This record gives sequence, structure tokens and C-alpha cells, in this order.
Amino acid sequence: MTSARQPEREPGREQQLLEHFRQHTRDEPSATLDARILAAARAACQAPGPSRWQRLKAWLAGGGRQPRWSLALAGVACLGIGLSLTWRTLQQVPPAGLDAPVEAMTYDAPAPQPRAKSAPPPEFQPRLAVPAAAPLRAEQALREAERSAAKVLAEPQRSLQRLLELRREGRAADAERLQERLRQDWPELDIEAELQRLERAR
Amino acid sequence: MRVPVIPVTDSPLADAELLRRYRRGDAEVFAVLYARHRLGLFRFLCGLCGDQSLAEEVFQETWLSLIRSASEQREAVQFKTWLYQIARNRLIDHWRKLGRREALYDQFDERQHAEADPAPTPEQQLGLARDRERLQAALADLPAEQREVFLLRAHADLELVEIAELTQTPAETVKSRLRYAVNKLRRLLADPTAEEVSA
Repeated sequence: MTSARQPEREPGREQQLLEHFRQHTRDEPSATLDARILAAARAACQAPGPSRWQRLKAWLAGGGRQPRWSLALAGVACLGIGLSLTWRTLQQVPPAGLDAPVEAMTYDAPAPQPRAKSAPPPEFQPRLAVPAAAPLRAEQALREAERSAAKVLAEPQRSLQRLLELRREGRAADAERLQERLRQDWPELDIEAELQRLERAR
Repeated sequence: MRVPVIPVTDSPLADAELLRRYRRGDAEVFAVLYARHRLGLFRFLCGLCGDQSLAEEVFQETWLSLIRSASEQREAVQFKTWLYQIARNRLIDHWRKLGRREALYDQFDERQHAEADPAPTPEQQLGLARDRERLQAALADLPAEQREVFLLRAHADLELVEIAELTQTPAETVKSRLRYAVNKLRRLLADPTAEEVSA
């Protein structure tokens, strides 16, 4: 009997008890306390808001609970590392057009020569020298290889020119020996085609 | 400054609007907001901690937190829920500082008071004691979680879902805590000499 009626009466009991407490609880904040709080509210309303710097300081201080200085320092450290790496990278890659000594061409042919068919053009020369101050080893080696290549590339042209001259002078034996040497050094070189080109370029 | 007497219309929108205006420099609306919630909040704190001086201290801290906070309440939360949440957190901070550990789930107590008294009819119900000491003593006899739920219901007039959100507790748990609290309080406050039943 009681369990069937209880669910229906529970909201009533609850409400009755709640009202009882509401009516018979007499606790109240004192007038002094009221005045203090209201005065604080008025003062906060009149006071100017914190400046950006003050807000930043407050944020960094973390409201006294957990200072955020470590976070700020970490951010500055990351920025410093990034700038340092960027500066180093810029220093290592010399930009074009700056005052860097230009290496002179080492090709010593008497006249401008047409390009060999299978050889890179003679104007493939290092244009900029790496500043002596801070070249990387790899870059220096590359430039050395370029200079060597430039010297090597000059050679077949030079020998071809010499061969042409020997033929014109009628020095067949010398010409034959030089031609044989060219064949051995540059097996892929089409000697006759190059000689014809040199002949036409004259 | 006297606390203004204001009509009890605490629609959530009105509270939020008052706070917004206050944040934008209208100091007078704060008095309205304060008057609307001061009694409920104070009585909640008194009932919960059982110590009027501590209740006053926490009460003041709660309002000052609200005043100093530059933020406005989150849209999804009622002002009242937010206010009581601040108060609750301040009180817990104080208890922690004092090293006080509130009783947690009281299984024994709930088993005792799981069922309501098989009182016959409302007309025949016993009256309830009215004096402050007995009311406070009865509240103090409740486990802290039940006391809190009951007081939030009684003085803050929060719904069960709001209490659940505030206390981060499932709604069913809040409901059963309230039920146990009501049953126990009724037993503790039963006063055979009382003539009328509180409405």
C-alpha cells in the first residue's frame, strides 16, 4: 500500500520540505557585508581596465597559480633558434650580384671556338668564386671540379685546332699521331666532324 | 547603499543581460543582480558549511570573483548556475586549506533512508520542526553530497539537471541523493508537537 502511494507523494513531500526550509531559514548577509560587496562592484566599474601590458603581465603570471614565464621563455628560445638557423643558411648560400671575386676564365684559345657537339660549351666556367671566408667543403669541391672540367673541355678543341693546322701544313705523320691521341682520349668525339666545323668557322 | 527590493524574476536572459550591462560600465545594475541572488547564495553556503563566518567569507569571495572577472558567463550556462559554481569552488578551496575532508558517499546512511516513511496522508503528516538549530543540525547530519543537492534545490531553486551540471554528477545520482536527503530530513525534523504542516 505504502509503496504504491509513495511515488505519487514523493514530489509533494519534497516540495513541502523545500518550502519548509525556505520559509524557516533566516540566515542573511549583514548590512556591512552587503555594503562592502556593492562598493567593490562600483569601484571595479569606475576603475579603468587593465592595459595590454598589464593583461600580458597578468597572463604571464598565470593568476598566481601557474606562472607562464616558462612558456614565454620557450617561445623566445624557439624564435631565437629559428632566426639563428635562418642567418646561418643565408651566410652559407652566397647571393648572386654581391661583391665576390669573380674567377677569370682559364680557357686560352686564340679565338672563340664553336661548341663541340658532344662537349659542354666552353663558357661553362665558374662565374663566382666562393668567398674565402666560409665555403663548405662540398661546395668547394664542386667548384674545383667545375674548374677542372673547364680545363678538360678546352683540350679537345685545342688539339683539334692543332690537328687542323698540322694537316694544312702538310705534316701528315704528326697529324696522324695527334689524331690517334684524340681518338684514345675522346673515343666518342667525332674528329672529322669537328675538324669540318672548325674549317667552316675560320 | 541599500540593497534594492526587486521582483523575483530571475529569467536567465535577464541575469545575463544585467551582467553584460555591468561589464560595460553600468554599476547600478549590479545591485539588482546582487539583490536577486544574495539570500539564496548565502543560505546555501550557511547550510553547506554550517559556519556563518566561513559562509560570509566565501560569500564575499564569490561576489568579488565575479566582479573582478573580466569574462562574462558562458552562453550555455545560466548565471545562477555559474554563480553557485564559483561559490562551491571557493568553499572547496577553503576546506582544502583547512585540511577538511567531507564525508563522501555514505552507503549506510542511504540504505537507512532509501524509503520514505510510510506516513498515511498529507493531512495526517507530522509537523516539521522550525527552529534554526534543529534545521541546521538536521542538515549537518546529512552526508555532504546530499546536503549540497538539497540546498541547491531549496535555496538556489535549481533544477536537477542544473545541479547535475554544476556538480558534474549524473542526473540520476542527483535525483537519488535528493530523495535520500528528503527522507532523512523528514525523519530528523519530525516534530509531533507541531500543529500545522508547512505548505
